[in-house]
Amino acid sequence: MSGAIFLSVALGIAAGAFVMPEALLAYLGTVIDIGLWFLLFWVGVDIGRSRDSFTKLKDYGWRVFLIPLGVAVGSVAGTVVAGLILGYNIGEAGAVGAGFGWYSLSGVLISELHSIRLGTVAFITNVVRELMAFVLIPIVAVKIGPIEAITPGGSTSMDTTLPVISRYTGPETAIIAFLNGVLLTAVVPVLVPLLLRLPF
Amino acid sequence: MWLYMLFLVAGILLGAKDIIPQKIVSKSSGFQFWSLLIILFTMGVGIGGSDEITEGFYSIGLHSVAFAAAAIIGSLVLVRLLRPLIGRGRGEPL
Repeated sequence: MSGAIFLSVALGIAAGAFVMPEALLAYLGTVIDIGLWFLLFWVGVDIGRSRDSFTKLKDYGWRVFLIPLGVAVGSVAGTVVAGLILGYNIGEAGAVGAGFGWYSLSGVLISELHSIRLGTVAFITNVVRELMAFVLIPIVAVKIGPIEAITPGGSTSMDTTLPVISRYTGPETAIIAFLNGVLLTAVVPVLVPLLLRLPF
Repeated sequence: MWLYMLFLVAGILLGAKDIIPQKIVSKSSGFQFWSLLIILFTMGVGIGGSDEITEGFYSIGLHSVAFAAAAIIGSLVLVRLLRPLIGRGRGEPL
């Protein structure tokens, strides 16, 4: 499946760069929205049909919140380390990581609060994170584990990467992935400005 | 964002109540696979058609790839370290 995912994105990029009329580009958001609604509806049906999953979620209790916490701290720590090597300061690099894959908001927010250059870095970083997630989720699910397969997508684990997570791990992990995405999405608008305020 | 949640919750409710005929539900996996490919193709078109992104890829693309990889590795490593605390519900591995 990851081969098909990679191929469809690559074909899309080629079509967008060379074939697609510019007038049609304005409708891409609508196509993606409708596709996501359809997709998420069927992911929901799969989740709803496995009632045992909800019972198990209660069993996990507070521990299930350690996943978004781990993703948040790990993402920011990872980009801070990379940023120090690349010559960014801690606040800038942390803010890029705190987009958690939500490229539209983090890019705009950072462009607005810091600079267009860092905003563009954040935008592309989080686009790339989402693309990498599509390829990595099936591999991580098989080689490392289902819970770890939630992590590459960050906040997108509640929408765009949720179907891939669900397909490779099952409805039980999909519920945890959705919760992870919701919590991370809620944190982005707060954490990005806070990190940008750091004086170092 | 709220509409995404609405469709997901609608699916969960209809799935839980077994309202959708089994004949249609059995095709759920195929529906998800093909709609995902269409969405990703469309996303790719958006990337290829945006001068801002394609030009950005050449000038600052390496930094972005490094940041994205670092964010994924960081979150993967930390969740892996936390796994012993997360991974059990009533003694059962996830």
